[in-house]
Amino acid sequence: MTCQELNLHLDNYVRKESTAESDGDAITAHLSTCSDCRRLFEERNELERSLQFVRDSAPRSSEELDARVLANYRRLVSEPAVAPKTILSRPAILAWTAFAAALLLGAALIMMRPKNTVTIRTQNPAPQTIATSPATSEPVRSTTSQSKPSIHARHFPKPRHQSASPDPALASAQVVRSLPEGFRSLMYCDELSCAQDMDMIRVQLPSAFVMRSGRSLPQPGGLVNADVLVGPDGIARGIRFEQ
Amino acid sequence: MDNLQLSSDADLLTRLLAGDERAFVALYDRLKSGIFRYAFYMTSSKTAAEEVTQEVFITLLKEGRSYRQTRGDVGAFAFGIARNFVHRIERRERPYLPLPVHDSPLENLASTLVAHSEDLSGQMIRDEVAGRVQAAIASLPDHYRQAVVLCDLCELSYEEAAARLHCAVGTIRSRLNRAHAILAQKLEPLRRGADIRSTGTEGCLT
Repeated sequence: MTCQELNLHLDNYVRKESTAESDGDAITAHLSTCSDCRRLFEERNELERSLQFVRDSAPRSSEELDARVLANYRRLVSEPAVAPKTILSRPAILAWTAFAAALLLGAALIMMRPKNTVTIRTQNPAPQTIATSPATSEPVRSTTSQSKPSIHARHFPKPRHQSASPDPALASAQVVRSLPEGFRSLMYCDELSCAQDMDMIRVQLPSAFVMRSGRSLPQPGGLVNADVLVGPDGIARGIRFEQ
Repeated sequence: MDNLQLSSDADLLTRLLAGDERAFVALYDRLKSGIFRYAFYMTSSKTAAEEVTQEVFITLLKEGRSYRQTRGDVGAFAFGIARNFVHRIERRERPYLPLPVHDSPLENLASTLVAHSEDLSGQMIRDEVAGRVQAAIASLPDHYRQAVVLCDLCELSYEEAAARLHCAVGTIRSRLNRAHAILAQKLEPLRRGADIRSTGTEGCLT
């Protein structure tokens, strides 16, 4: 028997429990030759004696305890039966938790959804509400501003297209329909290139720029408000000058 | 008249929950001693051990319907409750100084004097050793302490202890082995003291 094997059987040997006779003989033989294991055996033997003292010193429970427990039992039994609680299993708790989390997430997504309102800065003294393009029936809130040429952007929903038509003649007409009313197209715009939502940006442009584009102005000079439709790629799709 | 002694713990639990007081008393007699001893060795306090025992049976009455036979015997179920209450008491008592081994040493000493007047010194030495060993056990990490208390003090088999602690028998063996090594190390001064005491002062004086 090796020291390691003896270590495995030592507890049982010390407790004189379920040690096979052959193992017992082997342990005795090993202990007679190995001083380290003999010292370990003596330590464990001493510990076992000490543990026996602890076992012997344990007090007994009092009779008052028995009386108290019995009184508790009688009291609880005599109480009117309470409907048993519905105990949910762990998978059920997890499923309900996941469901609640999904609900919360859905609510959060709905609340964070971009709103279809456009805030426009104008130089009008009083706030006014103007209608947006036919694509969005929601009102556009307008605020006043005395600042220099400025840009303010809001999300602009994708114009509602009619179903794509394979006819090339109709495709050119689609260019017009793909932009809201009043906007001039700045680039070729079809179902493919203008299929996604666009942002409308209110900009103030020098009147010279507007005149260069061939538009006449009643009062040359100064700034002109314009709405620019910008696609998700950052490229302007259309422009509308304020009347 | 049915014989309650032959009924299984699970059967007794079912009957006591239905209001059978004799079944309750029978189950209480079976489990009380083990729970009380476990709680006493874990808390080193008779008062706390009685509190735990009482709470275990109250909980057994209130929550007994949640017991499932597939998850172990009633003893293991009650042990789980006792273990929770012991942890609760330990948390509650943690801010205070460790309790003495006995709640009332003077009372114990008096009873010792009466009961063992002929072997007083031997009894006092045994009590002292027991107190030190219990303190050493209390200082062990919890998983070692549980193994020592269940196997060495409550005298459960390795298999029973493994079922109570929801671990493998091999785990219990290794924890016990390690715990014994730590205890032997902690109690080394006590052993040396015992050697000196057995030698006596005569050796120094002569």
